[in-house]
Formats: sequence, C-alpha cells, structure tokens
Amino acid sequence: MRVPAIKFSKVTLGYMLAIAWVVSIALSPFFRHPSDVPTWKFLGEITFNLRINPLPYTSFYGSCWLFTILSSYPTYLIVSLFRASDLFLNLILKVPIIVGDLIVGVVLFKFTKSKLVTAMWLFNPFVIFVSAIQGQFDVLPTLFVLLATYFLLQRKNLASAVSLAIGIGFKIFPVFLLPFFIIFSLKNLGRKATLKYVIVLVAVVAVLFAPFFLPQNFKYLFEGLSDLPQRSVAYVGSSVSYIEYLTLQLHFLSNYNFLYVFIPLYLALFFVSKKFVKDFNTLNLSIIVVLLLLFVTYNTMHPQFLIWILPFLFIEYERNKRVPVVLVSALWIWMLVWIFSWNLGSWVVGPLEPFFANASTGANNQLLLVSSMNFSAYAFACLASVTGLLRRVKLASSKRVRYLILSVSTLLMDLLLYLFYGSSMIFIPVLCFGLFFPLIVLSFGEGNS
Amino acid sequence: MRHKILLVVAVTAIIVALSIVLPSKPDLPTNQGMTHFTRNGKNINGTATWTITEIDPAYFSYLSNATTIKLTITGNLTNSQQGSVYINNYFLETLKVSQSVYVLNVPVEFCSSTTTIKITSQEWDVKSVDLLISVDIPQVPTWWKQNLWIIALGLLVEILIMGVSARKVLKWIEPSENTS
Repeated sequence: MRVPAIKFSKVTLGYMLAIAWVVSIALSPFFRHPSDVPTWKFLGEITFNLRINPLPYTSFYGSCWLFTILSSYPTYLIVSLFRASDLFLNLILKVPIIVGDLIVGVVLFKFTKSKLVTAMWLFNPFVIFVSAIQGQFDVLPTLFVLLATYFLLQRKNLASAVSLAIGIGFKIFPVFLLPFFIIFSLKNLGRKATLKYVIVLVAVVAVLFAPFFLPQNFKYLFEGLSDLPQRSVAYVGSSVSYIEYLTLQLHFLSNYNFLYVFIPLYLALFFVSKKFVKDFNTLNLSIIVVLLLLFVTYNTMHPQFLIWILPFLFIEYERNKRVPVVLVSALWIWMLVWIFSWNLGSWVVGPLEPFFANASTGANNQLLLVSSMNFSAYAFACLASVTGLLRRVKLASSKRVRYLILSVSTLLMDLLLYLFYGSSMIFIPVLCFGLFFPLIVLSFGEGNS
Repeated sequence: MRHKILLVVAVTAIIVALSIVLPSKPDLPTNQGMTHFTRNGKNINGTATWTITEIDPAYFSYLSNATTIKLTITGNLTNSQQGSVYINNYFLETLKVSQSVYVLNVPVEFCSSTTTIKITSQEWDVKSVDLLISVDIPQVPTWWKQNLWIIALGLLVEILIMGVSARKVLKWIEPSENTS
C-alpha cells in the first residue's frame, strides 16, 4: 500500500507547533547545562527551603528570569512530596523556555507569512539545543524584543513598550536596541506617542526592577561598578551586577573590544540611524547590526547569545534575501563548535582577542580562540552583508575562486592561530587579523548583490 | 485542532510520568549551601580591618543552628611575630606559628550581616581573608513544607492565569492558522 506523501504546503502552523512541542518536551528532562540548571535549582532551593534572599545571586540578570524560576519551582515542590526527581525539575524549568520558542515561531509567521521560516526556527537544531537541551533562557528576552517590534509595526506602541521593558527585565541586550525603537517611533508615530512609549517603558522597567530598589538589594544593582569588594557564592557565580554587565564590564581596562570598537561604532550607528531608520526593514537591520556588533566586541560572549539575532536574520532573509543562508549556517556551526569547548576556559570572542591571547586561561584555549575567531569573521561578514557593504565588492569574478579564497584563508588563519597561540610572535595575530580576516569577509562579496 | 491537542497532551503526560518515575541522581549536593566573601590582603603593621556587608541576615536568625562559619587567612606571619584576630570586636585567636594558610572556626554568634574582621600584628603580610558560611540544609526545617497551603494556592492561581493566557494566545494564533 502506498503511503500518500505529505506536502509541506498542507502542513499547518498548528501541526508544526505540536511537533516542535513534542520534540522539545521529550528531550528536556534528560539533558541540562552542567552549571546553569543546577544554579536555577539552587535559587529555588534557597528561596523555598531556606528563605534566603535569592536576588543577589541573579543580580546580573533583570528580575524576570528569577520570577520565572520561582513560578516554575512550586510545581516541582508539590511533585517532590511524592517523589523528588531532578529529571522532572529539568523539564519544569524548561517549560517557559520551550513555550517561548513556540511563540517566537508564531510571531515569525506573523511577520513573514512563511512556513519555511517558521520551520527553520521551530526545528532548528541550534534553537532546540540551547532551549530544550541546555535550558538557557535567551529565547525569552528575544521573544519580548520580537513582540516589541511586532506591536510597534502594528502601531500598538504601549504593548510594544511593555514588551521591550519585559525583555530588559530578562537580559541586558535589549537596552542597546532601545534608541532605535525610539527613533522608529518618533518617525512613524510622532512625538506625543513616543513620549508615552518612553514613559510606559520606564514605568514598567521600574516595576520589574523594584526588588533592586529595596534597601537590602540596592547595592547588588551596582556592585562591581563601584569597585566594592569581590563577592563569590558557591554554585552561583554572581560577582557582577546588571549595571556592570550593561557597561560590558567597563572596569576591565583590558576590555579593548568594548572601548575602541563597540562604543565608537555604536555611536556612529546611532547618529546614522537618525536618518536611516524609517520603516520596519531599516529597524530590523539596525537591530541585526547592533547585535552583530555586540557579538564581535562583547568580552564574555556565550554560544546561546546567537539566539537573540536568529529571528531577525530570518525576517531579513525572507523579506530582502540579503543575508546568505551559508553565512547564517556558518555562524551556527561555529557556535556549536564553541558549545563543545564550553568548559575550556574564558569565552572571549572578538577580533582583538588574539592580541591578548595570554590573558585567557584554560587547557584548550587554542581551540577556543580558533572557533571564536571564525565566529567573529563570519559575524563580520554578516554585518557587512546586511549593511550592504559587500554588494560592491568583487574579490574575484568566479564563485569557485571566491570559495577557494574563503577556504584557504580560514584554514591558514586557524592553523596559525592554533600552532602559535600564546607565543610572542605578534606578527601572527596581525597577519590573521590584517589579511585572512578581511579575505574571509570579502569572499562573500558579489554573491549577495 | 482537537487531535493535535490530544497528541500534545498525551505525549506531555507520558514524558512527565517518565521524568518522575525514572531514576535520577541529584544534580548538586543537597546537604550543604555555601557562601563565601573574599577580600584582598594588606601588609599589617598595627591594625587592619575588613568589613563584609553583604551577608544575608537569614544566616543569623532561623538558620543559625545549622550554620558554620570559617575564616581563612592567607599570607605568612613573619617569624617571631604574632597576630590577633577579632570578629566584630570579639577576640577569636592569637596566631604565632608561621604558615601560608590559617583556617579558623568562627562562632556564629560573633557574626552579623555586617561583619568586621580585625587583625592586630606588628608584621604580617596578609594576602587575603575569606569568610566562608556553610549551612547544612537537611538540618533546617524546610519553609515550604510548613506553608504547603500557600504554595498550593499560589500554584493554583498560576495555573488559572496560564490557562487564561493560553486561551488568548490560541485565539491570536487562529487567524494565522487560517491563512497558512
């Protein structure tokens, strides 16, 4: 008997959501991030068992993730009356994250009307890995930034302000996107509506951060920035605060990436955007550019951060076909390589990193450096691609020659960095950064025109 | 729509049941919670103090019976010299032997949420001081078990809110479903 073939066009959004839920929920009890999920458990334990204030231990996030954990934990507590199971705890802590994945899929569908894009998100191995397997909550702030964009496009500016504020309540990166939302609102909704937007946003942020304003917690918002003494907690690394993360750990004088790359480029982007950001396409582009800029300059880049940008890259791909799939795939691959070198030392990415290679510690920093350099090269290529800089570049007329240049440059850069990591031969990182890095970026030219 | 929901509910129920029934070992040791506060050292010629302000008051109220506190001082005491250690002006110990690390037991009642460590010595190059607070979790009566009704009520309210939100989300999805 012949089984009728299922056409992709017949598959409904509901089916995709159901399958994505089943896949994620089936994986989630049996895997977890080695330190972060135990940290979420620790937070529940100290709150509900010991009545110890958990806020200082999550002070580098906003309060929203803590609220999410503390809302999920009672289900585990009630079940633990019958049988305490860490598998069930893994599952229950990941449920809000998995729901976040699904809603991002729906919002992406609303934006693009493309089932292919929705499927590329919902069944993306990287997304499933980060959310259902590792249990990282990066999809939640991403969802709220995406919703803020969606509502702004729908001219529901108050809903947009609330969404963006919740995003800020989860993680820091939406703060860097805020000026572009304001510019968009000014251009499209007028001054009065923008003023309302800002007032609502500030009010909701103030409510979400209210626990930090209690006398016993206030210092944790700033600790680190004001050079207070070091604090460390077993199981939970919280020696930095929200403000410290927001300033990308400015007090590290060695944070050259941030000081000399991020600040000037971000300011330039902001001033250019005052004329440039007019419609949804340009707002989406500015979000992508800011996030890519953060990726290549942030001094503690973690693999799961790529989740922040993926929905916006998909939207850009679907609407303007400007981001080559091969580039996004390369980003994923290098991020996955990075995940497997997770515990090998400091997680630094950025083009200036090889100049300060000795500052990193760890048994296998060569591998880490190679993967981070590749990731940042591909992120730069993506940045150049979305800003249209690559459209005029003609490195070679033949596609094969360009891919040959790409392969040879990547291979040579990786070999040199791996073999001479940490040596005093400064010309090696200069050669890599000055020659191979631009060749990798430029080899994506022309093909994107 | 109904069979999709049925499929989702059935698979979820099976996975939830499996996650509860299948054997699992704890991810982290449940017998101890620890916090420690480290400060950089000083070269002491007279008196030096370090103040720790960020200790949770809970350790000194209802957790005090299950709490142990240790003070670790690193840095060699110069030969023939001695150093006296005080916690919140309570005398703790006088050290005489030269060694690189000193670990001292601190009575819980000496400490408070603001704890000052004071050392007097004629010559002692202290590299660091570290106050380690441990709580033996099984010794503490769990708060949530004594307030089970509050937890259950909170959970019920949460489920109701989530049910209402889920309905709204489903309604929001429906138009997309029709155009897909």
